[in-house]
Amino acid sequence: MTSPATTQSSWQDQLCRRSLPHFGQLINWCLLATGAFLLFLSFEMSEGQRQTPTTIFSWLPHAWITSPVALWGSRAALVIGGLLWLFNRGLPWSCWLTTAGFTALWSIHVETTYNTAHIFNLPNMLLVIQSLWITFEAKEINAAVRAGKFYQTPLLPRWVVLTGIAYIGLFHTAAGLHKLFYSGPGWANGVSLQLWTHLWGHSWAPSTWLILSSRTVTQILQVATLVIEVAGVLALFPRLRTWIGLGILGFYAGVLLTFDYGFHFNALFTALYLLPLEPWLTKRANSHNAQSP
Amino acid sequence: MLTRDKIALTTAGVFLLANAIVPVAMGDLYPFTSGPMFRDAPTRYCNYRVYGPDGKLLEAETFLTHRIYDGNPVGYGVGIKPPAVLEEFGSERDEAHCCQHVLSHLSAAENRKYPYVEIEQEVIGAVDSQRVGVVRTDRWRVENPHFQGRN
Repeated sequence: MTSPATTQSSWQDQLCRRSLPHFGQLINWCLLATGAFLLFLSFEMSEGQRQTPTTIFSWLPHAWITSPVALWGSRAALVIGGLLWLFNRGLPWSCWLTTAGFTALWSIHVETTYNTAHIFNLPNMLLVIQSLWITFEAKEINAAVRAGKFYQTPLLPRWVVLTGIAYIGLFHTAAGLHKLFYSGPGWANGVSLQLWTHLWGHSWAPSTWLILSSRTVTQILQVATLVIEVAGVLALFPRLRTWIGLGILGFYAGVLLTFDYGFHFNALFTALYLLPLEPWLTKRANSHNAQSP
Repeated sequence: MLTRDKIALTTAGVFLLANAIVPVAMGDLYPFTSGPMFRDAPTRYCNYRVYGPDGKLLEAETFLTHRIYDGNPVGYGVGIKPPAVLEEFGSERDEAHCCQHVLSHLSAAENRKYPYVEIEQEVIGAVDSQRVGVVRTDRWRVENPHFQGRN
């Protein structure tokens, strides 16, 4: 009979089992590319009565948040941290500098607007996860980088990938549950999606034509959205992961085709984590290393 | 004794727990979010337009008849309180409300040149069992008690 201590140990061993870092590095590059995109976004600061709290920086005086020093300081942090991280230098401080710059930059936008978008929340939280990985493994990562054996050394604990998957699942489950709690199952009435599409749908998109021509189809799409979003967190189960990934990506494909919303990064990271890319990449890296002299 | 791996796992757990709890307890607090976009289930919406006496369309921002709603709940998770626009996505303002709203903006210096304006409300909703479209258009005249003559 297995003792609780053994079970716990085995469970912990599984979560801390390390694999080659290719997938983690791919995520880092995609996050840095997202940061570069954010860097070039221009922000219009709206004026009006302030509402708090809306970001983790809301405790700061508004004058500080709206100052050019904060804006350019955040951009500088993102650039310096991002460049260092890109070349695996200054770890783990460079990745935290990147994460802080990224968070501060979009927070400044959120703090100074009355219209925002949830297009950077997901990459921002993934930045935190990747920074945690590099912090906890900094000694081994730095040693492997110095020895020129970064891609030959098992440096990526399983918990890093699983935390990313769990976060992405949670992110979508929260969106589904929010709709259910706020509007109930009647959210999928077909009319609401038709109205949003009537107002904002691309006139050239086949999805717009389909939605506007049939409430029955629109209702089916809305029910599917609710089911897929609420089920997001079940992506933690390996057998369901790809199916949930495909469902969420189908949802993003429809949204991106129909509307002018910038959910491209959400779709990208959902694809990277929920489609079977990580096992494929790691297997490929293992066999490549095994063949190398 | 706490090992590095145990601390890492605990930190990851706290991170996920925070992402589950913070949006419920505090609402959107960037970078935490509950994904509130399109949480509503509107059955109609309205477009509002204001016209001058010569029939020309006037600036919507001047009369706060523009739309702030972009799919996200208005004023939720943002640092600046949005202006009090006439449009509330999903609801249909009545004549009295529309006229009162426009009237409250006619005292502004740039609007005193109009002896009256007209507010148009275009209602979009279900037109049959399968489609949505313009259900009705109303237009109401609002006299300007602050009219100071044309300059």
